Amino acid sequence: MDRTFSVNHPLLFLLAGIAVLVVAVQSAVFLRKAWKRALEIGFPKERLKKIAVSSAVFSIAPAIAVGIGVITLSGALGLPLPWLRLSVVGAIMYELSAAETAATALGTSLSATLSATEFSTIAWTMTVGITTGLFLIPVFCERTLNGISKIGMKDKKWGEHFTNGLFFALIATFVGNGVADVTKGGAGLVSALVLVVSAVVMGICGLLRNKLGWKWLNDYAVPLSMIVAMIAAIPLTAWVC
Amino acid sequence: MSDYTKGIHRSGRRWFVFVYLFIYLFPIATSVYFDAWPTWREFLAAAIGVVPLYWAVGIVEAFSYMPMLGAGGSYLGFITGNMSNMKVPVALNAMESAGVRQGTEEGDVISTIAIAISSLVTLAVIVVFIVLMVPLSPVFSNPALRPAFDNVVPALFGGLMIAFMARTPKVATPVIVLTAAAFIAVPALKSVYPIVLPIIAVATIFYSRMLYKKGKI
Repeated sequence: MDRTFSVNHPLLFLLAGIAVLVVAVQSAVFLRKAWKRALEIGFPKERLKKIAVSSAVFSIAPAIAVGIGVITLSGALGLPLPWLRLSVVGAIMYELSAAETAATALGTSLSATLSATEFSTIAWTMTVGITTGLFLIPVFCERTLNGISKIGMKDKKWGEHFTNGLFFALIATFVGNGVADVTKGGAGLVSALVLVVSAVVMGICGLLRNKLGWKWLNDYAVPLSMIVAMIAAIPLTAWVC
Repeated sequence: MSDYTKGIHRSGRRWFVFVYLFIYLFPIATSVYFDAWPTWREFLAAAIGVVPLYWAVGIVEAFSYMPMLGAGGSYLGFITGNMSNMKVPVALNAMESAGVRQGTEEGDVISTIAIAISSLVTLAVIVVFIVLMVPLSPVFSNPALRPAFDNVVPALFGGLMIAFMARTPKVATPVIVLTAAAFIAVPALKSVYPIVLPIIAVATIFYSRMLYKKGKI
């Protein structure tokens, strides 16, 4: 193999490809285990299939956004590193800013052609940055979940309110994020309007489900509201910006 | 704890170690093969702007998301990434539509199934993008389509907000309204949202506890 550095060198594709394959196998193994257990504890197969299809539909639009992230980063970093970083551990919101911050600190930029050392420094920085918080999962996951499970065992109803509280906080934070820049107009206003459209579509789905008995909407209401709101972002942007 | 849950913790830990090795193999092999090891000075200069913030975010996200995703969902979700913009919402949606609660084995298996499916879909979509990069690029770089993909997160959470408000409106409504008002009043909160999240979580749990003790929920 040619040792002349290129951000799209075949070795880099091989390294990224192997890591992505490992994660795909892990996903398949966990899916099989959970599916088997779900059947054992009484979930009907048809119900599980519906949940799987709904989850797949739900994931397509955000996955396309991640794919666009890979293409965006590939201009500077080539395809293998963004492919790896956005398929394993990484997140679209972090990786671009991590790469930019690291490149700027090295006195270069993502619009310049990177040397092998600059590229490897950026790869090290992105890897160390994103993976360190992760070691907490294998160390603390069992203990944390046992602690929460004890709350649920002591008082089942309060256990439910406790975990609901965590969900509400998460949703409130992201709703806050979506509306934070509403008063600035432009993209901030579009983001807030998109959130409202999504909420309205979800409300309509709830009404249709309750009034007309369309129970199948249960599985597709959130993906549907997301897709309608994303489409609405296009005319809303043309109108507001 | 059931045998299933014990097994998930055991294999989750093993997979973590295994995947970690492959993640670090990329920068190690790049540095060795191209003889391109960064100097400590270069690495520290680059890392100082990235690592402290990401460690803080990583720690907060780990403890915030673990109780929501359960064992299988956590081991898999954190490895496959894109948590807040995909894995957490997809798990919440699946648990909500299946009518199961987190903290139960039912919630755990549904969350794991949703996250595994989501991971496989994402990996496949990214591969399609890479393979079809040349023909796809003009389509997705079209400025007319850009707003749709720039607004994935608000589009996701608008619908989820309504679904969860219906669960316990007495708690969810004031928490969501007050948090939104705080973000509008201080837009800078947006840039530190991972730190804001646990603060809101603690406040919400206290508020829930107060209503629960008074018998209002």
